[in-house]
Amino acid sequence: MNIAGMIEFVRTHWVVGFVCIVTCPPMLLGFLPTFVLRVGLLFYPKDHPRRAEFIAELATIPWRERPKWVAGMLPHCLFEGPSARLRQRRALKVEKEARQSLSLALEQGGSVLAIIVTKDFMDMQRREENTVQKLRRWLRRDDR
Amino acid sequence: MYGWGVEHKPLRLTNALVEVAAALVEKHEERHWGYELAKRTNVKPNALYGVLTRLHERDWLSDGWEEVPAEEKRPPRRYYQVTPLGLARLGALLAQASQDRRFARLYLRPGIAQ
Repeated sequence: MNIAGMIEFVRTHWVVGFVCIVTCPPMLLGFLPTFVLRVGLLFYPKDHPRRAEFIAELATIPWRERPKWVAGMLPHCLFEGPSARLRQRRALKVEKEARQSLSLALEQGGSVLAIIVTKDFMDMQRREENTVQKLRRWLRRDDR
Repeated sequence: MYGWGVEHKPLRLTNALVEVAAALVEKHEERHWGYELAKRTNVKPNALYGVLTRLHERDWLSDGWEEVPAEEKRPPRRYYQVTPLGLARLGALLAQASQDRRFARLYLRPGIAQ
């Protein structure tokens, strides 16, 4: 159907045309940007602050600018979201390994060693990479 | 043994970074919001949030959630504020950028801190 045909359709079926005219702007400026942004935010991990941040930002942006802003944010979500998920997964893995190392240290070394490792473990929760390797190296050195 | 720091790569000077840094330093005591910064600097939002993330990771920016009055029915926004460390580092970064010909255009533009 070409544009002239669509106009003719709207002219003859004026109720449908009226509904289209009334619903299109709220759809384009209200529902659609929010929906698209929320879909984009699904790439982020559940507890990532970006999810709440972007939704809150969108609420303060003027209606007219919302579609453009959301269109600009989508690539950011596509790139940052999966990498944040990956980082979170890696951090969880490191934490799990650190817990295992901690219990191992508790079994092997007694309280002093446990205190040292616990301090390191608290540090580890913030820092992700290389920690387990360092801890292992350190434990191996202690064994010698 | 303690305090293994996260080592960050040195920040690559980009137009977006320099513009955001200038805007942050200009009003370093105030809170900044993503959209407001995008408006002030004309940096595209997707580049802006990347810059904010990098600065936040280095503890140059602190963040928090605003308190919204009950009559305003909207979710609280996340704000960013320059830390003392950030102020020093961003100042150094701007000084470095001012020596760079690539950013001469930015320093001529009104609204960007010298």
